[in-house]
Amino acid sequence: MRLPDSTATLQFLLLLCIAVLSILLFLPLSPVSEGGGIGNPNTSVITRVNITNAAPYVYNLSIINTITLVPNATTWVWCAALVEDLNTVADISSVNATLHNTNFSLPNGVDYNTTHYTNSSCTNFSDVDSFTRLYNCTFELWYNANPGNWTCNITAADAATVSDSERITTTVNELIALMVGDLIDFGKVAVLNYSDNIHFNVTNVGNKNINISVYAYGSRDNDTLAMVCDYGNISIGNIRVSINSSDITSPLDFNTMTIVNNSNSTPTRIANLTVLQYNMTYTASINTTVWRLYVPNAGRPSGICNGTVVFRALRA
Amino acid sequence: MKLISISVLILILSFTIASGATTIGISPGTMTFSKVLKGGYAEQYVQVTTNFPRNLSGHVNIIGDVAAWIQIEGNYTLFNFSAKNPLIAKIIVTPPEDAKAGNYTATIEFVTDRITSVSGGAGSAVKASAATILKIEVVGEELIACTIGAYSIYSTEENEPIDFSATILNTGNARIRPKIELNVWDQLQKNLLLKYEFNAPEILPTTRREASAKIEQKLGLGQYWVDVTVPDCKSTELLTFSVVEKGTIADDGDLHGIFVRPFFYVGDIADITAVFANRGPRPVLAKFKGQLYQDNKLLQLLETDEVQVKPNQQEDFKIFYTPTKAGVYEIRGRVNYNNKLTYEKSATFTALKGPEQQYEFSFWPLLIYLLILLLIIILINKIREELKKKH
Repeated sequence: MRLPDSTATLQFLLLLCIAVLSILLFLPLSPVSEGGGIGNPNTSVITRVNITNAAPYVYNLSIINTITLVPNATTWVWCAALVEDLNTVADISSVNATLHNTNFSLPNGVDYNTTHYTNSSCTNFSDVDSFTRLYNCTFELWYNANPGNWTCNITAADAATVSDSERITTTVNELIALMVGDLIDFGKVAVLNYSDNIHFNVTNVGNKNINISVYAYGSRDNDTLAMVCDYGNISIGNIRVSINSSDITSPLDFNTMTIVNNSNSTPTRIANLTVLQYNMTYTASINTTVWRLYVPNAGRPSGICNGTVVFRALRA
Repeated sequence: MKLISISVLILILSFTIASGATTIGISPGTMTFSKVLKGGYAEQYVQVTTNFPRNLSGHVNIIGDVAAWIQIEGNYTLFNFSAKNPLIAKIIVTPPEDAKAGNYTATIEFVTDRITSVSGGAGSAVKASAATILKIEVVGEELIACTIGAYSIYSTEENEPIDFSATILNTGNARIRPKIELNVWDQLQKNLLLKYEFNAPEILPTTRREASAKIEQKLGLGQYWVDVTVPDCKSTELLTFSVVEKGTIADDGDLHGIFVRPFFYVGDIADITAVFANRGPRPVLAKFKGQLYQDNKLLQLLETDEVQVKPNQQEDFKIFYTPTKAGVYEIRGRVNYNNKLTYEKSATFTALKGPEQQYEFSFWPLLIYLLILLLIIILINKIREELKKKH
């Protein structure tokens, strides 16, 4: 096969220039005015204008009416709009959107999980016709997004950077949620002995502050037991809780710790244990409780001892 | 910001994974039932969520002095939920006739079941619970109140009935069947031409229902006005419609498409959705009719129930199918609306063998491999022989 020589390359470039010139010849002309005569009051002037750019128009916004968040996870929210551009949809250069909490942020505010989200490039979902396009703007809302009214603001711009905006409101529901581990493990404790301090974290994974109550039972609600063992059992008064985590390395005084109730109808509200919504730092939404177990002789417990502790979150 | 979000996500995920944590959330945190009538009814919804990917089981406790007044629709006490399938429960409050007027509170608690147990020593399995507080105000006085909206009236052809509908929300505390009065006036609103009255279906307090009617008419061609009065809701509204010549109103519907996930395992339920939009000026009765093929062989005819679709509204026809064999499946179908048909649309999905089925021994490919291998050996031998002969 013969390789192209330099003359052939030049011929190709020449043909390319002719093609570009031909395209440019077909571009629209500038606004024209003709026939105006200076000093003649009766001169009629014929003016013609070729509107080379029409502004985009954002309309028909839609969004879900109420948003229910998922604890410790994100929730997708779609905000959609039709964008019309009379220079055809090809002239729409960008569509972006913000979703912000109406009480705590502004459309041009800074992105923050609790109050403000930005989608700088909404998706071109489908063309309705050659002038109108449906855009879909998605936001991934965190579980701690503030409850209340939120506004989705969609802005479309064209190639000449002319833009239009429209907005729609929705409501984020309050979410009362907690995250806890699966087990409070006291380990091996001999009869007439106390367990070590067992630290157990409670995390607020909703969007409101929560109060924590606890109740415990052996095998069923209100059975007066803290644990049921292979042989015998441990009564309810022998499991205690505290939020005194100032020095949780040294054993807490068992007698100063809070007795846990045995029934779901009278759970023990752990005093001063309000777990805050994750607002500034994630660690602020975690509270540590301290647990201890005493194994009495009464009930003659031995072997593996199993109980249940329920952590209940209520709106603070 | 994205970086911070990702870091937080990683932190949360690592925390979740490391500790084997359980999460539960409830929305809303408080429910207020105002002015509930003795012997009356009120309802609200609560949503219980988790980020747990698999099914998590749990139970419900209704706690408080007035627990007997409160029920969850379906009267269940055990439930399952997951990240993809939150629990949406309808809470119904029905104070008895002899309840004393006043304010009451109760708690509904949704508790996860234990997901671990102690393997040695002493320990307590932890259950997570999220609760909502019910604030109930009981009154003895009947309060009749409602709001009405979403009025619809459509132009009709000569001698064809007029379609009217509206949605009523019972904001009072007693059951209602509001009377709806329609007066049809001529174009100048001077002559009353037609009167029509009907009662909405029974609407329980705090609930909403649609009231609709087909009004027979013998009006001439032209524009008309209708004043709609609902005395119970203290509402009046003026609407307009036209009577046009036979054949003028063209129903117009569009089957946007048939949508289905591209892959399923054999035995999974394939969730197929046919999306239909009514683009015409009046409601239509529509149903999806289609066929299901596997590898171009007709397997099953598909047909949904007929539903009314209002103008500019979209209806998702749901079809469920459980593939029993691996292969490519195709759904083709149309929507039949007011005796018209949409264009046919289709969608395909592939049913894969489940992970446990993928390692089934298949005899035929192995046989073919062996035959080819045998053929190669024979040919090599033949060539060798030929070469030896030449030398």
